[in-house]
Amino acid sequence: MALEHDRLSEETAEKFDSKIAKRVGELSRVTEALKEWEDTQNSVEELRGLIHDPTTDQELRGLAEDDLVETRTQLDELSQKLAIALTPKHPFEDMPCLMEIRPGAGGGEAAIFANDLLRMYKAYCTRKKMRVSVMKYETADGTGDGSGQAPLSEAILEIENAGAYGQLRSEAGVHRVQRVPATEAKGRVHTSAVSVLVLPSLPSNGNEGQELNQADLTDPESDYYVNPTDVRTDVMRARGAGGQHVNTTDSAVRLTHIPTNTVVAMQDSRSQHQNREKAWQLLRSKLAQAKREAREEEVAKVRRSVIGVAKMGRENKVRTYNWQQQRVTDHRSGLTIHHLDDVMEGGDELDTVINSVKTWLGEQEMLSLLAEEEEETGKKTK
Amino acid sequence: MPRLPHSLLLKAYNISPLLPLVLQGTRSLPSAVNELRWLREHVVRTNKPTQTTQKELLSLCKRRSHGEPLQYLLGSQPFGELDIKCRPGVLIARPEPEAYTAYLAKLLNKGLKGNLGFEFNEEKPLRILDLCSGTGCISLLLHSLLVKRFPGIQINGWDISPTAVSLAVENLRRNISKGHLKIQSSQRPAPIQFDQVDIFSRFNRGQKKQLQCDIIICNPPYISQKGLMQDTSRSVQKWEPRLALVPEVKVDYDGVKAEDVFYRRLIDIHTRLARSKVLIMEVGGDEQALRVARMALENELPSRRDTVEIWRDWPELRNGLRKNEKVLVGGSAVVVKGMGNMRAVVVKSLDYVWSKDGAGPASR
Repeated sequence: MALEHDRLSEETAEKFDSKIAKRVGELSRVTEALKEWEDTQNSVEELRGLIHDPTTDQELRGLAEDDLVETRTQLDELSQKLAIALTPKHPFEDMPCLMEIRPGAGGGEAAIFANDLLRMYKAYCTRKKMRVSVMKYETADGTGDGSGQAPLSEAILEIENAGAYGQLRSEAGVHRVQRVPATEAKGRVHTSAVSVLVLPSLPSNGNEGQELNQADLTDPESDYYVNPTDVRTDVMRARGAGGQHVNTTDSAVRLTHIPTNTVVAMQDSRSQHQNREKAWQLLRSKLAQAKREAREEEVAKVRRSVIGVAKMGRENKVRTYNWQQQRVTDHRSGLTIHHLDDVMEGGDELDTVINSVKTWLGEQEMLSLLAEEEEETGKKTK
Repeated sequence: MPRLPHSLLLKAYNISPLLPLVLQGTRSLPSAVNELRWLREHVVRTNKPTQTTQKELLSLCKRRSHGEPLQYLLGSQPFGELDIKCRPGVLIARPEPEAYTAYLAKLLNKGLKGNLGFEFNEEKPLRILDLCSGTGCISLLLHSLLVKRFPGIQINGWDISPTAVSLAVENLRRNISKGHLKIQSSQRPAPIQFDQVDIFSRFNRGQKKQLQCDIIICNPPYISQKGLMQDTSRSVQKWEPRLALVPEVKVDYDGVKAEDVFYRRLIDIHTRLARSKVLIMEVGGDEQALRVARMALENELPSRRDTVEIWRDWPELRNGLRKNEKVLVGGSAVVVKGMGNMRAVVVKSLDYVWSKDGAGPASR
């Protein structure tokens, strides 16, 4: 693999080819880790040789022994890093993403917390210099929080940077909040939940600027392909005569993917045209995610036997935000930190949490990969 | 108009104290919620964050409660990818013309494979005449959708109202500066041009030249006196120009209803004066569509073979129940496409297909 990388690097130096450049990018992660590992391995050998060499004097041997211990621990770390680099990259890793935030159990308080999370991720993305925009903001009936806005029922953030999916995919899951809500009169602590769904976002048709060759929308084999005849479009129209008779502003568009009964509705923009495009984008993302999840389901059976119930998804609570103790605990990586305010502002502490989950995810993927391999060798020997 | 129930007003008030005002204008809660959000965004966008934004928002909501259209309050309406300025005195761009204009462009871009039934000679520039052009939305959208395949495209927009013509010119400039239209100001002849013309008058030489076109598209006034009182919403009656809604022309065609006079004139222009290949006319509903289709078939010249089609509100959407829908008009079967009310009558005149050898009209 290191050889392939070197060869490709040379080739790109001569002529720039986006496909090769991409492969180089994919490989460089591995080769870098591999090089470091090899270097360290070599120094271990050297040190060992030094220790076992009878001509080495006592002082030097002592130093070498100290060094050896240190280098060994380094080696362990590096092997882990290499292992993570070797795990196949998530196929959607390089894509921009959509983030769907919905209040779960907990009524009005859940809606308020959903709003808090929305603000948190917006701040986080802005700080990380990722382009973020609210693609959908839907409110439910009911009493507002005083600012004249109805409570949030669903929000979708669009993060347009390549690689945003890889960065944020570990955020998917149920986020739990424990605090005394603003709506609570008697000062009791409530526990509510908000679900966050992270979808890879797909470029719309004819968007050639984006470098996403695997996202071929017209190829029926691809995950992103949606057969237009499977989709029913509904537009909101005025009752009665229509045309010049009315001047309503209804611009809502609803798409239904008939085979899977997936429904998306979009009404945020005044332009029906734009609502339709956004709805298609969302539908494609949802279906691609579903296709991938279905494929992973088989693998997950093997995985579960190793990891237990660690399958990430919307069904499991992944993180708790506790106001009383000013603490945030991630239930997957087991990390607890006490800078709640900084987390809620999307600051550095949120980074710490996200990174801890990413490391955990990498390890889990490694484990499941090993499990699969064992399964296969087990099958062969039978 | 039925009174809004108190429970609905209360529900709206509980969401926001401003919502009942907007609700008076929209008459439905979901669209009121959306409109209030758009109004708020508009106020935030146009004002500096000061104390006056709340006041400004309140005054806009009050105006909305009297039925003033949101498009006039915000001053614009999206139309396809374009942004169309709207102003009192000119009819607001509506979603139905957006749908049939986009559909027409799609068929033209497809060429022979599409079912307009013929292909245009691509060496000659495609010429389109947009009558009763209003805000100019149809002309501008056609240009933006067609210019890639028809680089030499020429569009002329005619309207009787000087207010409309000047607004259309503003819209042309606005969409060029926003980058929605790829036109250089130095381009001659200008790819899009708007003029004040009364289509019932005698045409002068320059106008006759502009009449020599491939496609005529028109959204004429088509509502009857009675229909204006009965079928239109309060907001339309009170705020939009009557000139663009009800035909009031002192021309008498035998046996033609007052609300249909424009169609009679359009068919005349299409068959006798312009000799264009396609004529697309917006209509007010199913009954009028059938009357106009019959009129088109009856007025066909003996030497021509016209096909008439009817497009519904959303010509691209599939009609779940009726596949390959057809209606019988005066003995001939007329194809009906799409979903919704009947919205446009399309006349295709086949003998003007460009023949390869240039020998004139193709034979039957």
